[in-house]
This record gives sequence, C-alpha cells and structure tokens, in this order.
Amino acid sequence: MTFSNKLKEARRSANLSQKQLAEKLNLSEKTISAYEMERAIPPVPTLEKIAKITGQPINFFMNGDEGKVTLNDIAEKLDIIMSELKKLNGK
Amino acid sequence: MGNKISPKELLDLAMEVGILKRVIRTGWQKKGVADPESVAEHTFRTAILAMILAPQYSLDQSKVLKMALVHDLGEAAIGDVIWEQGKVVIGSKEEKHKDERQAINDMFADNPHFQEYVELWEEFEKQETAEAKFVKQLDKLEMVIQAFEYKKEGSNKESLQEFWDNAEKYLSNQELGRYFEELKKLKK
Repeated sequence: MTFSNKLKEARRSANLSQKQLAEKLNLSEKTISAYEMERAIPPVPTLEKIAKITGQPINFFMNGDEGKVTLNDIAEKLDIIMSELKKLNGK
Repeated sequence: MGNKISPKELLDLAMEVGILKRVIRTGWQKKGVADPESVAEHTFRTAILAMILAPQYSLDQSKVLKMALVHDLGEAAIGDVIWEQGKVVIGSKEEKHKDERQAINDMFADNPHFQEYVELWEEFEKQETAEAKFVKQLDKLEMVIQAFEYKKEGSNKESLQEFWDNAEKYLSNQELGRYFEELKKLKK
C-alpha cells in the first residue's frame, strides 16, 4: 500500500478530517491533501507526529512489510508472484 | 561571548537542518528514479553553482550563496511538495509557502542572530530582487543537470521530460539560459 493510502486509512480510522489533522500538525489542509495525493512525503519528525495523532505505530507508515498488512497488500504481492511464475513457465 | 549562539540552540538548529539529508526529492521518487537524491544534496550543488556563478554576473556572492543555502530549508518540516508538473501549476504555492514560512520561523526561533536568514528566505520566495531571481535559476539549473544525470544512469527519458519542460519555463531567455542550452545539446 502506498504511503498516501496508509495516511488516508490512518486518518479515517482516527476519525479526523484533513482539516483536523492539519490543525493538529500546525500545517495547512493543502499540505495534508498533498500527502494524500502522493505529491509529497512528510519528513520523519512530522511522520512521528502523524503516528502519534492517529494512534498508529510509526512502522505502519514506513516502507517495507512492517506494520499492518492489508488484503490489498497481499493481493498486490500475489499478482507479482503469479506474474513471476508465468515467466518461469514460459522459459 | 554574549553574541554567540548557545550550544543548545546550535545543536537544535543543526538537527533541524539535518532532516533535509533524509527528505527525498519527491519528483524523482514519483518517476521511479532508483535511489533519488535528498533535498540536502540538491542544495549542496545549488550552493556550489551559486558560489561559482554569482561573481560572474556581478552579484553579491555572499548573499547569493546564503540564499541558495536557505532556499529549501522550510522543507525540513513539510517535505518536498510538488506544486508544478512541467510548466503547469498543480498545487497551491501559497499554502506551501505559508507552511514553509512557519517552519523557517520555528527553526530560527526568533533569534536575532538568525533574522538575516529568515529575510533571505522571504526574499527568495518573493522573487523580486536580482539575487532571488538568480537563485531560482540556479535551483532549476541544478534540477535539470540532475535530470540529465539520471537519464545517463538509465532512468526513462520520457518520464524525466517534465523536468526539462519545467527548467525551460524558468531558464529560457534568462541569464543562465546558456548553460541550459549547452545541456540540451549534450542530451541529444
């Protein structure tokens, strides 16, 4: 799952609007929107604040497989595995 | 002694600025560039270009160099927000600047010793003075040199085209346009 989707999921789970999250971070709503539109990734200290506000572990927002794994993550990985298997069969 | 920055203030500032070593330039990341540079790396070469070129254009080298060093400092708090794609504006420059201004003020914490840097950042943002316009050109020249290098390293030429278009917007028919023209020849 992309960072922007993780942020949206975490924000909605915490019942926060973009505006409310922006106010808690002392940032503009447009910046939160930029994070959720994949136009930026917040620096680590801001990410730590987001994790604290939304009640998620910081690893949830980081790259890799740490944190929560969703069905979409599993489906994406299965697609990759299936595609690799097809390539191997073709050889 | 009274005018010296306290050890705590210095360390706080150093750590705040150090965040930029880990803020990845979003544009490259979105285009799938492998191991894209940080904002600090972009600032480093922009500053070198400022040091070399400012005297050649009869500009105050010290002022241009300092402005180049502070021009992206606000990104330490919000990240590198994309607000332009090629020649097209896609985000709110005003809101980005508002958040960055807040970050710069927090970083320098109303310390009178640092007001010069806050003012230089403001001057760059306003884009009214010769030095501010020059640093903007340096910022774009550095970016397009990087696009050239990423292409050489194997990044997709088409996906990087928007950076060339963006550089064209700021460098065409400007003082530093000749360096951009030379780079375009090398690209072919």
